[in-house]
Amino acid sequence: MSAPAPGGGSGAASEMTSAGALEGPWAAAEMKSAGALEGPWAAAGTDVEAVDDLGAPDPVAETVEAILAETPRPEQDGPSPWLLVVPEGPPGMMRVYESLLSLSDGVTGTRGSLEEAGPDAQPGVYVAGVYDRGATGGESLLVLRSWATLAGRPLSPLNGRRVLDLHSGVLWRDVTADDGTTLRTARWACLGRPGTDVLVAEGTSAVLDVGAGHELVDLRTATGGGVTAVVETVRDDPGRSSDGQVHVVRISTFAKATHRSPSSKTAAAAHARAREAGAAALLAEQRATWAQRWAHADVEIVGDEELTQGVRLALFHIMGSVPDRGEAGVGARGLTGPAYSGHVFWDADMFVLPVLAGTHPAAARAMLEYRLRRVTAARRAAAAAGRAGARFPWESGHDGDDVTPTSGIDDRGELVAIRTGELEEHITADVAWAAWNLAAWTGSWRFLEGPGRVLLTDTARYWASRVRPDAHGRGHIDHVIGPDEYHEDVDDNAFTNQMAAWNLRRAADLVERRGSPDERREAVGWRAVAGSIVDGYDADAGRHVQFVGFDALEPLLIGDVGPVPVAADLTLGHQRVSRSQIIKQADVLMLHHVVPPVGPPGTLARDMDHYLPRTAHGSSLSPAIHAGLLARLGRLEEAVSFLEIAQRVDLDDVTGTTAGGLHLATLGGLWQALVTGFAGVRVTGPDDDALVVDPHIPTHWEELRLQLRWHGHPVRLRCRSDAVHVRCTVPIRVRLGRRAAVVVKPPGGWVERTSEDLSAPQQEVAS
Amino acid sequence: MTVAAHHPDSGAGASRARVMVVVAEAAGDAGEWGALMGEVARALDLEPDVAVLPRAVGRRAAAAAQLATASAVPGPVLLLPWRDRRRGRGRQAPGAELRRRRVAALRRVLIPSDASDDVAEGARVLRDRLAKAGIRSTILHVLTEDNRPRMWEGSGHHAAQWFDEMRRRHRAGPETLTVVPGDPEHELETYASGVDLVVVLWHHDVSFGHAALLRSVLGRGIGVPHLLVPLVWLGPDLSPPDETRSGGGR
Repeated sequence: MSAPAPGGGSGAASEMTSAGALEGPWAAAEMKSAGALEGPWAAAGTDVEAVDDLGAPDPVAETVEAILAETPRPEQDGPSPWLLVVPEGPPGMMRVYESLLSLSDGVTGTRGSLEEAGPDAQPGVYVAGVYDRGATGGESLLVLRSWATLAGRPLSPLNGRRVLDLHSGVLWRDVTADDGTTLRTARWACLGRPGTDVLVAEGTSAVLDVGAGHELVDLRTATGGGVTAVVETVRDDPGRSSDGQVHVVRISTFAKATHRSPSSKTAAAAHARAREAGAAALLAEQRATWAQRWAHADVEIVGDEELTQGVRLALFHIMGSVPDRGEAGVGARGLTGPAYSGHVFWDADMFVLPVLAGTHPAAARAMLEYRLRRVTAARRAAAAAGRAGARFPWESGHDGDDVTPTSGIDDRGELVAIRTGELEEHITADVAWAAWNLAAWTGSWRFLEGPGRVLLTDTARYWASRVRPDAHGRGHIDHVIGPDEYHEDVDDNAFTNQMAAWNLRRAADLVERRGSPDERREAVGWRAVAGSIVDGYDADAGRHVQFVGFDALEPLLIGDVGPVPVAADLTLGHQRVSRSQIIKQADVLMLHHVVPPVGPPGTLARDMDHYLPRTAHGSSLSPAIHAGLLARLGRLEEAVSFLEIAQRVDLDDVTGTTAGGLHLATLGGLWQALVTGFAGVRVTGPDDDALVVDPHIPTHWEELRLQLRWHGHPVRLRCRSDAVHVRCTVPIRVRLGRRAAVVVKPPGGWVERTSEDLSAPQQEVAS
Repeated sequence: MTVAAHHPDSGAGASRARVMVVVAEAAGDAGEWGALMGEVARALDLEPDVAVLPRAVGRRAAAAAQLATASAVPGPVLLLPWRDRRRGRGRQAPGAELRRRRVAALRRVLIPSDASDDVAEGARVLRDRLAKAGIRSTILHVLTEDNRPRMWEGSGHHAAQWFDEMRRRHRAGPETLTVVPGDPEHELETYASGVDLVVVLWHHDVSFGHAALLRSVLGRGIGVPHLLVPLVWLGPDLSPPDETRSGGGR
């Protein structure tokens, strides 16, 4: 199929103006939209040959019809593991579906709004890493008008549905309106050409009132970055249509710059290349690119198609939200919506990054590049607090300064103080953990010994200066908020303290391995400080105490409040919940997830027994972490229950905010629960000599299949309760549970448990 | 007197009639509330038709009669505040001092919404309709144990997004949507005290398990007129009978 030419059947240069469909501002921010035919793209735009042979098929119609002929027709019954199917309504779910059906390519994310939008729609295009400032000075991810909106009459659907094909990243729509008109569309964000988006549509002229033309966009933000774009629409000649159907192809290209003015030539050149390829070829390329990504990332739960679909949906949005070059600041909702203003939290470092470290390390590296380029700001923040090293902000945006609001509204709409920016300091260790996690998955010190070094050393310096020694030589970290945000301004939060100690030790490992004499001397101090920090472990109870004084709080259990998940702060009120032992999410248990093993053998089980009955799971981050830990403990029924809660957070809009975008950390947690919990995959550092796998597979799952990249090589695992099949391209050492490591040679083979392994009690596997 | 006798379009096919049945307890009530009745009727392009109920003793009996009447009428029903015929015999209903506050003009309207699709849509349709007549409405959503999110990630971003979504659901600005956590009955009574009319969108179903809140509110006694609008009367696209929808995308 040849590329449809701009102007399509009309072929008239006069139609190469900005069409009605593209009227209006692209963004709320001030913009300079160049007139059509201006700039370097103009020459190409006028170079159009009219199709004047009325007997020949219209090339646009031919292209569109050929593509739409491939619309998937999933069975109505039951979930399809690769296809997410949603109906046209109901209205209350419209914006939730827009988030779920977002299409992203690492540079742009476009919400899955209906093509005709309408007053209930919240369409938009989010450009990764490009922030703007509002009138009040707050930074938000830039939102542009959607390229996927087509002018036309709103539809009253009689029946219709949209199908998101996760395997190819294409969103299909097929709707019949109550007046008999039809609209069929397909659209995709080109994963292999980040910033290029394609829409094809077929409908009656009443529905698709779209003219041909193209628009150039040149938009600068208050933060010094900007976006340029070319949006071109071609359509067939209505006079040639025998059935009154209009066919449209729209190709849009975006180029961005986060800290300088973007070049209009970049978007124009990308557009020229995309136009040259044509929609059909771009679709074929899209399918091939996604297939390649899935080949190194897919997860399948044989025996549970709904969970399989859920985790694939998670992976789809994570892979789409993170570019694999340059820097990748991954906001809490990725590129799927405006909530949380696109700010980067620990969600990125501890929940999203591991997914990419284990499947597509280049993207994880780009996420760390985002942190690296903001070390200077983190150093400034530490200095401002009178500390050494680097203190990363709880919420980060354009330049790495803390953009956490200091006040916000509560559930009554009343203004309250927000203290996370001031007190939730564990993020500094979380960033270091993320850098180490990438090194552990890749099995390489290169990044840590090179550019990533400061992510460990400067954070360690911060903690060394942050810890307060007491008269007995014990180190304390006062006035913090841990992951459990129901309790603010606490002392010696076990998670914060142990993560700080972990950070200090890993930094010491690094400089002792390769460092100057001065650094090695500094490392001695780091180890001493790490050893001094109180870890919250209560030897008498055999478990951790979340923070000083926690056990003296009102001894409420979550069963007293309601079935989980429950927003306990809304139920009990902020004051009471803060004075009780009810916690929002995994806090002590989060330690067991990220830096296992923690404490003496059996500590995980005891901490679980103590904190699970006190956890509200009021945070979307919580259920998946518990699912993974419960799986490790062999409590599989409970583990699956929490996994299902995590999987449904966005599908069921459990938080009431999915309309503002998907919870990327929840999606990342889902993958982590399956990989580190149910499959029991453990990576601890770049010197790991074997891939540790310790499956805990529910009886109703036939198999858990994972595609990973470990130490630079693709690995496919088929996990069963009694054995693991490892498929590999190079010989790798695999340790199954507590057994000695064995070498698996390509193309792979089974590693089986012995009857002794299976009868042994569940324990933490020390790595 | 039966309601049907007062409702010329009752029965099959009458669900889109432009009649507003005004339910009064005494013949003189309709006259006392004439100004408000007229404004409501004009704003919604309805023809008022008064039904006078047999005298009921006590709030519960009156409420039962009001609800029975409303359920028998397929269109909007305006319930006027009732007279407490047991005056001086036992405690007054909450908000009794507000009772029978005659409203000379209709200026402020309260529309409670549970934020479900049909009620949210109906609320914004009626709000827009009233606005065209120069009448300001506030949509009230009471956040309860049953309808609040099961996960709440905290004040600030989460709350801001949640409120934004609630406003979008009602296509309302901060000034026209009030969200308040609490007990629906109590909050309704509190907010009703500051308005001239409460518009209640309901499913027109008084069978067991339905209309519990409405039953309870009426049972406590109403201080201001309540206009009960069946969602089904608004039509399949939730617009009043004479209104052609011009947008919405569905």
